[in-house]
Amino acid sequence: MPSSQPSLGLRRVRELQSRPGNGRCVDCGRLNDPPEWASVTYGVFMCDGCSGAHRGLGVRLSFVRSVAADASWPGPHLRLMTSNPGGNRALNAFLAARGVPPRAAISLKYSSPAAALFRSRLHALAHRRPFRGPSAVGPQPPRPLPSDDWDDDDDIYYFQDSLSSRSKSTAGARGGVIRRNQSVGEDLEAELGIGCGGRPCRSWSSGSISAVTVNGSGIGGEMFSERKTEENEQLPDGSGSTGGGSLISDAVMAVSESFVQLTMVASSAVQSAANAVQTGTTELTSKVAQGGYDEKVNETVNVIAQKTTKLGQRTWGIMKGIMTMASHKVEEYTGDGAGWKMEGLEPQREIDSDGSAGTPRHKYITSNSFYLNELDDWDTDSPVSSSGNQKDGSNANKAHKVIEWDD
Amino acid sequence: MGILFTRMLSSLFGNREARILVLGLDNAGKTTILYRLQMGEVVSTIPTIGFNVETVQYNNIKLQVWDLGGQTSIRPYWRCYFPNTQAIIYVVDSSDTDRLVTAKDEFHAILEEEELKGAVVLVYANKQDLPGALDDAAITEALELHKIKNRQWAIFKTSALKGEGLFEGLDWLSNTLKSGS
Repeated sequence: MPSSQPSLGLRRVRELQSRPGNGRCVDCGRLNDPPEWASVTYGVFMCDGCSGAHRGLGVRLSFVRSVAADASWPGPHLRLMTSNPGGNRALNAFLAARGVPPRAAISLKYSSPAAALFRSRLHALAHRRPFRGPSAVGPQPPRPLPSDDWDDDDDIYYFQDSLSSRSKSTAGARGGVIRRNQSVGEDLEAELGIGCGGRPCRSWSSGSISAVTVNGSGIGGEMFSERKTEENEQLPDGSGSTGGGSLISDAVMAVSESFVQLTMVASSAVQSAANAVQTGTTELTSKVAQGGYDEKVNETVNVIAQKTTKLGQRTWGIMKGIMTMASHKVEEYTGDGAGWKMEGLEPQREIDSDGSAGTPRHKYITSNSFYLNELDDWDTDSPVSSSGNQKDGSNANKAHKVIEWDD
Repeated sequence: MGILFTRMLSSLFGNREARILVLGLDNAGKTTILYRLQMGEVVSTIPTIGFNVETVQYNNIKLQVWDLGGQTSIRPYWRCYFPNTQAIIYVVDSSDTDRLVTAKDEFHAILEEEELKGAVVLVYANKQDLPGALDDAAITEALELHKIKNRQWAIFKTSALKGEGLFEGLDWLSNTLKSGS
């Protein structure tokens, strides 16, 4: 028979149940007081009607328990529940950001790839397994998931890029655009890589070199992040990602340095040409000023033309030399990168350490980190329970631990 | 006079009644099975807190089928329904492999009950339509059915959603009940 004293597990679940957003059914949005059914698989609360639909999905998609009627909450179930302190809002925001509306049919909502991602992540968190996301990067400082403050209209995600730049954006923009832009002089105008579909762009033209761009997670960044997650599932670990990231970073630096050198020489060559033209023009002006010397003027013009041609040839020679130098330098830097191509707009194919050539990889670009309250830090008096504190990183650091995605 | 005549006919043609309990862990599919047997269709259910009871006429036996809620805290109340029970239908979610041990423990606890000593046992290895569902042999092993002594039992693979296996099990049950009395 049930004991009159609620178990520790039940008390914890009751506390979760009382958090903002969990008073409404996660699926139909009906305002219960509070919903008495929980899906352990997602750490969410629902009404009895929707719990019936959840039960029909099978335990692999959703494992349903009654908060009260299953009063004894065993450890594994409790860990799953407490690993999603954001509860209903966190799940719906997560799914909404991936194109699954909160009020979608339950059978579709929970069989979606986004729901599968959430399940895997929560499972990893509950089992204290690192869950590395689309890219693996070095250790990052903790950043809180503002889960308690999430609602359907205000989905906030944080993404981190491998270059230690950070950006925050709303779900509408889907991830921050991280840009690293090597501007190489007045003539060498850099462009940001929107048109490159989130891939680094490099292009060469005769007079200008444009755009060494790393587009962080820009437009479609999150989409390919998820694609990347699927790809990463086939990888033994995330180590290749780190290697790829640093290699590309080095290569970008090399290209950048070469371009700077090239720019300096080109600038000086242009400056010389300008001086020569100026000199010639001065000479011509003085001749014209003397008057009546049409032939001499013509000769002078010819001389100027010859001088300009010479200067042009010399400049081109210098340019060619510098270009060769730059190419050698880049090859030196990318010598280990087995396949870094300088020509064209080709993205970083063949750059992966696992040798899978031909598929563009973008491991270096983003890292999604999911910060959730860890079970051991969970406390009924924790600031986690009070919404509004969650966006304050310093406060949340006490109760949160960064968990990176790994699959 | 009419009632007397009906009773005479019933005894003549073997029409009898039996009280059956449908037991199993929560979300095993007990309620769906009950209404599939009674109405012949799949109904959308909500978790049973308490019980459902329906009468199913099958093979000249009037089965009074009690479907009891399976949540942890209400399982102890199952015993209130044990007296005068001729058969138990024990339903297992064959895809819920994590809880098969719990299912086995509950099952053998039921079999220990003095009031159920004479009850025959029909096991439904349900939810065969779900991927990863174990078959009847695996469920037999997981539930340790071979340990059952002095009792008639049988196991059937079922899918309440598809309607597969339910009436085959009910055939066995009705025949066993008829032959046993």
